[in-house]
Amino acid sequence: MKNKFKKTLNYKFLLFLGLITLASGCESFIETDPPSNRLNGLNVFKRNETAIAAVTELYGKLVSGATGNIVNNVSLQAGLSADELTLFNSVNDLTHLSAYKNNFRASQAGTYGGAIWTTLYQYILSANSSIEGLESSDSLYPIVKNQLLGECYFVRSFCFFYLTTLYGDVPLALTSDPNINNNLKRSSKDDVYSQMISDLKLAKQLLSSSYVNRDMLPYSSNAERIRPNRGAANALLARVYLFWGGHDIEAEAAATEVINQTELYELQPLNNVFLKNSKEAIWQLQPIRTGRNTDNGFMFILPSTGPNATAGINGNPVYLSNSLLNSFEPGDARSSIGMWVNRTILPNGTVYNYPYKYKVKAVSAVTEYEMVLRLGEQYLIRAEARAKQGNLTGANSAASDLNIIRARAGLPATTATSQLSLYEAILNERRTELFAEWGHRWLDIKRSGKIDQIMNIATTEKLSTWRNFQKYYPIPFADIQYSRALVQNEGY
Amino acid sequence: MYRNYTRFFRTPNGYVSKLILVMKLTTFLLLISLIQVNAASFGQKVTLKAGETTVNNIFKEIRKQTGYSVMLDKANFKTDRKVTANFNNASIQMVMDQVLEGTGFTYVIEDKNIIVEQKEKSLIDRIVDRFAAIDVTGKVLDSDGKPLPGATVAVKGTKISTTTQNDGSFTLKAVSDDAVLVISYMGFEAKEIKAEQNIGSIRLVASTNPLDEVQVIAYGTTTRRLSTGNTTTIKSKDIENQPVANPLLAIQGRVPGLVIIQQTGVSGGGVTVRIQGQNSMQSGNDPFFVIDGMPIDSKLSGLNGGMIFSNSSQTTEGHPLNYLNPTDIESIDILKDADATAIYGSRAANGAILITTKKGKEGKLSLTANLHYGFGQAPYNGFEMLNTRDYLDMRYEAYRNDGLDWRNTNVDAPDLKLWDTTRYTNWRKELIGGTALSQRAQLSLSGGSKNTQYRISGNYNKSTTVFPDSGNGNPAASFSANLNSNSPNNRFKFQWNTNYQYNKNELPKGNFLQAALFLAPNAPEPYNLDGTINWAPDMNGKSTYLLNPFVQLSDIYRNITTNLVSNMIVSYKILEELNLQTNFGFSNLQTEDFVPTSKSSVRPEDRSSTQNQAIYGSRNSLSWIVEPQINYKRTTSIGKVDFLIGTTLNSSVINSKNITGVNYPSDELLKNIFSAASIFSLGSIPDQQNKYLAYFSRLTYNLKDKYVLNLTARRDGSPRFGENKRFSNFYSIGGAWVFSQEKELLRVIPWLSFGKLRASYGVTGNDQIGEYQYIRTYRSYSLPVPYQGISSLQASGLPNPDLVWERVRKISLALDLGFLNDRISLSVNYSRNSSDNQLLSVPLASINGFTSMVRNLDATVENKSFEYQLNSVNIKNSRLEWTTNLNVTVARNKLVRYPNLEKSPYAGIYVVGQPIDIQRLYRFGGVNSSTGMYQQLDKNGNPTDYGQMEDQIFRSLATPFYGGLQNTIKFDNFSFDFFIQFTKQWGLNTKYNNGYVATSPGVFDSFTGASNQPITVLKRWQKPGDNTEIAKFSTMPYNGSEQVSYTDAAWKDASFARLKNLSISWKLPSSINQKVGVQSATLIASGQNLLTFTNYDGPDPETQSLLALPPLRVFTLGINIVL
Repeated sequence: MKNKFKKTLNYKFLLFLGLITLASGCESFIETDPPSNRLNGLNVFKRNETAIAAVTELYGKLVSGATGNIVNNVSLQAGLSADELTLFNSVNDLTHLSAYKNNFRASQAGTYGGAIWTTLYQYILSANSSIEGLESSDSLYPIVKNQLLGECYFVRSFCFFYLTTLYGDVPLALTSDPNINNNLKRSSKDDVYSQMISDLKLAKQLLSSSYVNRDMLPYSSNAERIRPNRGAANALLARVYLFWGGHDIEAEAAATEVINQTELYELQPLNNVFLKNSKEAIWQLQPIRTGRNTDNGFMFILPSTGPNATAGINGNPVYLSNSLLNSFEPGDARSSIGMWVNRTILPNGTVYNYPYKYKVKAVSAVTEYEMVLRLGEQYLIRAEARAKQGNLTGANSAASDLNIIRARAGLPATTATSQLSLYEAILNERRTELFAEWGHRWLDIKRSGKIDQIMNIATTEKLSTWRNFQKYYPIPFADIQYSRALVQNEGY
Repeated sequence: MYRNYTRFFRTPNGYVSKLILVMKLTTFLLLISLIQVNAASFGQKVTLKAGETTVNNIFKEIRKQTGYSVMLDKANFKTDRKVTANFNNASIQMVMDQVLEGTGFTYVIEDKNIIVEQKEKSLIDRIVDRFAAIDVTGKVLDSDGKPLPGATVAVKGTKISTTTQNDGSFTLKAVSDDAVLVISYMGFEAKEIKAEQNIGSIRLVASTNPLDEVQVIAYGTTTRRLSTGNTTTIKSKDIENQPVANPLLAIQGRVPGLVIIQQTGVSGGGVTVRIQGQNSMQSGNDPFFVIDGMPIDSKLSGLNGGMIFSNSSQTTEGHPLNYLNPTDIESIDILKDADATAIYGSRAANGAILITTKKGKEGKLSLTANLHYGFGQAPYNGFEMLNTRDYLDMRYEAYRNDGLDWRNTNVDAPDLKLWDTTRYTNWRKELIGGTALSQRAQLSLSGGSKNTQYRISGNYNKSTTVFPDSGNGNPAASFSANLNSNSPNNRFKFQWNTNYQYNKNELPKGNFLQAALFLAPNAPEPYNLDGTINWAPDMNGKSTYLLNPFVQLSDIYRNITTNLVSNMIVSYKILEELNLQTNFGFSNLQTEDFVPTSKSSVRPEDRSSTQNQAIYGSRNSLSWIVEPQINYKRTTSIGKVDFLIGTTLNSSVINSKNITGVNYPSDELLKNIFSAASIFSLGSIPDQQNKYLAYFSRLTYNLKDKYVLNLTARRDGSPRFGENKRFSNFYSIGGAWVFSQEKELLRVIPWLSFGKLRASYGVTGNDQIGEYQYIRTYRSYSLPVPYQGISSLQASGLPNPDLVWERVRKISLALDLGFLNDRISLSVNYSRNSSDNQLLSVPLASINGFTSMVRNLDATVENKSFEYQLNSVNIKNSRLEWTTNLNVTVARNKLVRYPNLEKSPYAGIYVVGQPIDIQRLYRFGGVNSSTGMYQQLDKNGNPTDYGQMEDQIFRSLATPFYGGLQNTIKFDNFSFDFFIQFTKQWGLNTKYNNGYVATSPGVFDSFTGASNQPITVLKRWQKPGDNTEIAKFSTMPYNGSEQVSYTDAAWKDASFARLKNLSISWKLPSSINQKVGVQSATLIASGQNLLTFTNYDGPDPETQSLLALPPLRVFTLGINIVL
């Protein structure tokens, strides 16, 4: 009896011992492998290829998106808000409708007009994460690290530009840490502009002067202008200085730096401007969808049945407003059918004019890229900067710059000579040169101080009413709800 | 017994004890001689010469002759016993001595009464007994002759007992030869038998008392009689006669504390399962599912954006149990409280559902065949849409109200201008009015010897949809096998189970429901005369018939799923008390999706600018488990001890692929990916790998089946947390007091046959947050054309390295009662589950780049519930049996604590003291009688255009009260069973809230074409002064009507009672069986979702969605034959 009991005890003891040994050997069992489809964030910025892959995502995101890319969103929404686009009457997409009728709102039920804000902050987070990753990495080639860092600062600044022009004061999210970001207050416009300037100055130092290929090395031939370079940083710097106001000398200098790079940049005939890697392009985005070229071209070019109410990236919801068509001077080549404007005539006689800067709607072979920054705008920036400084006429003056653009459009030299009339002329020229591009018109009428005057007329045509607070879009209701520091724009 | 006693305390088995024994004996003998001095005689004489006569007669004679009455306890003392009476002038004492001889009774004489009473054994008798004691041996078997190891054999009225060996044999030493043995075994009727030296085999009959039915619990079994936890068991008889594809739908409403909601009537659709409410604000509220010891996924997140049927008739997740054949299930056990689930640790924080498949039975080969044929239709509870006349009037009135002339050229109204306004089509009838046919055939065989048993079953099942003929429906075939084997000495045991199912589902890609309800009643013929889709182009060539539902038939979504669940349990009994066991499990669920978008489904004017495409998705979920366990069981005189220790190693990997092909030369080639001009990967679903390690143990102590104590502990590791936060400990303590075992109590309340008090407390955890949330990861960002040719990487989200386990503390108190020999049983269970450290994907302002991040939130959610279950055998005789089962649950979910809620991102969502799924609502202000527009009430109750949110009106989708009532009546060979499910709840009011399925009344939405309205809109505002509940018609989309959906008017009482199942079966009489040569044959007619009683005015109070197909009303006819 006793022996058997002892034996039992020994058995049990051994078993427990065995189990414990087995178990303690297993603690490491739950170490899961890094997921097959994910990279540990710590490793991404240790290697050139993965670091490049992470930063390149930014551009992919800029041109993709379920409802269209940021180019489309800004061009369409800001275009509708201003007086250059007309919304097809069957469209009942609330974002389109409220952009067009200038009656955005933000409530529990939804925020219309906040999508651009959300999208831009996504890009900013990507840029911030990459900046942190790149700066903490010491194993990248310096040439790669500098270019990528420069790109991130550049894109961050580019995003803040649209944030502050569309929404007013905005929070300056400069890290990827939600504990900091979620408590940010809205920074004053001056602070935002200062930040953009310092980012762009940094980017200017870091970015390559030539366009770089997928290894961040200068192209040996056939350069693609789809990553920002030093020229892009200058071009954006010129625009930011101009928009900030009071920095016309700097704006002129930055624009001049771009314009003087004549071996790289050159104005093109009207129908070649938007071709891929055209010499007018300072920065373009490569389309990423199959079966079409640019989303912008796909959206603006109307099918033979005219505009439609299709939602999302396959929709053709807008055509050019009469107000814009009437603003072209007689003989302006840009407004000739088949140049920058084209039309669809329905069997019942209805005519729809649409932007025809991009000429390809649905063809797989890619000949056009989305234009972001181009030389034509730089001439107009410099013209305005010079006009504000009093350099009105003569060689290297506001008028001479303006006339370069007018000449391309087949128009005679400007007759304006006074500071005010030149300023007016430049503003009008911006309208006809930059229509349906990146909401330029909407941004221009805001900074010109003429918004109420222009929009009172425009909203009458749109069968709605203008209220000044609508010059800024509402920020998403959810952001007010989920952040302790944010306040809604006045009026919403 | 004496020996046992001394052995237990380890007294030396030597001379000392023997010496003591001798000394005691001597003392006894001395005493006896003193006590034997007895009473003097009374001198009364009796004379009786009757030969054989009854004791009763003798007592009568004594009374007659002496005047002495005999008093006795008739219940115990039998007076009809015959004795030989031959007394001549004998003393009363002499007569009584002779009559009582050998009966174990004695008598005393007081006054003139002779009181007969049970003999108190004299000490000498006892000594004699001791020396006359016998060693009893025997064998305990079940009715099939299988040995029952571990059965209790006890000597009645004593504490002597033993348990049977593996072969069922037992030996009880030193039992007095007139003792009675009580043999008992869990799940069997106890049996009493007189002690003999060799009893031979004793067969126990399986208990019919529901208290003794086997309940499957984590790593073991118990019964309702002895369990300490809150577990409900549903047996196969309640599952197999219900025509459902998902076994969970068969237990809907039958289990207190369990809510099951069918999301759609489309076969293969999703099911929501909640045990005792929603504990976690967000992070997984699904219970833990286990099939024969193998854990399976609790949900089936599919492809295409996470939803398996996203491109189908309703966006829904599938459910893994759709791929298990209900007729192969033996039982489903629902484990609810901490006592029952804490041993599963983190995985069962929301309870557990254990599914046990059918097993082989010893006996000769038996073949069972089942054939079922059924048809189903979509019921619509009086939910009607406008006819053409009313529809057109609505449209004209809308234009009038807007001050527009619909004839104007710039007014886009094809329904009025272009379409035939005299047409009428009942689109609901056309599109979802079909009959879904189902056929099921099953063949199973089972049998085996004493040592090896097997069961094999094959099942084929095909069901079609109520949609217009669209695909091949939903054929499924399954196979299930079980093999049990044990060595002749029963030490080694082996069990193998395998279930495999192939399931194919073909459905139209788009949603018929929207068109079925909201397509204008005068919409044109779907097809042109040449058989092509009618797009009804206007004079400009622009299509106007955009919601033509038959377009969807050109794109048939296909899903093929195969599911394998297999496990093996191997055990070896090293010692009688010590058993080693390991469970090896494996499961593999594979899903293939095919989602075509053909060119012909695109309107003609867009075809030049669009490309046909197809998505090919595949998902492979593979997991394995190994669970070595050691079990120590011992029965001693001071109780039964059952100790279990084990470990779990579990690994699961889900691989998903999602490949899109674009631009095919022809729509016909969409099924072949190589025909695509370009192919790219969407990669929307990351691969998921999860590993899981745990140690667990349980100690159960049972004292005389009266007191049961149950302790469990588990240590869990999850790789979902940072390195220092991975392991966490969970435990529970549970106890039961079976007070009906207290004899004194039963004497007071004899009608109480069973009574038990249970209580438990425990802690479990929750880690359902998905993988890799604690670390920043990057994944591929795939585009149809990579940017600059670079495959880019994107960050997967905002990491949080500080995440820890969510904890659920569960308290449960229960009372189980049985009355009238357990013919009526009642259980009342109170539970309180509080869950804190809530893991939430906390919403962030979008300025963070991501709009959410997983965090632990310092908030506590409490679920309190009372569960009542009443089972009653109302009538039971040889021909008729009527049983009733009723269960009712009263539940309350509440956010009990959330410090600084008002400053948190959830300030506008949650309210302390309210359920966590509340909607905060404005007060509806009716329709402005002068403008005809909807209004809300402001804080003072005055109508305004834009109301103010008030913290007064909350609505929750939770079900505060629900249950089910089942009645089964068996009469001879007939069996009649019906089950009613009832639920009290709020639902979305379809009058005001159509879930954005259609636009507001009066609008013709040229994009979706969804323009018809329910007839309730006819009560609209028409002219100033009208007081109505519906605003004026308008062609302006969203003319304030969406405001209503934020008011209390958008909610309505959606309580319902539903005749869920009714079945009638008839067993053919054996005379017929013999003629046809079968063992038994049963005809079954059954109906599912037959009737719904509700005030809800939407199509269905359960799904509450206008886009969801209501659960089908199904009738089936079937036959079950056993050969």
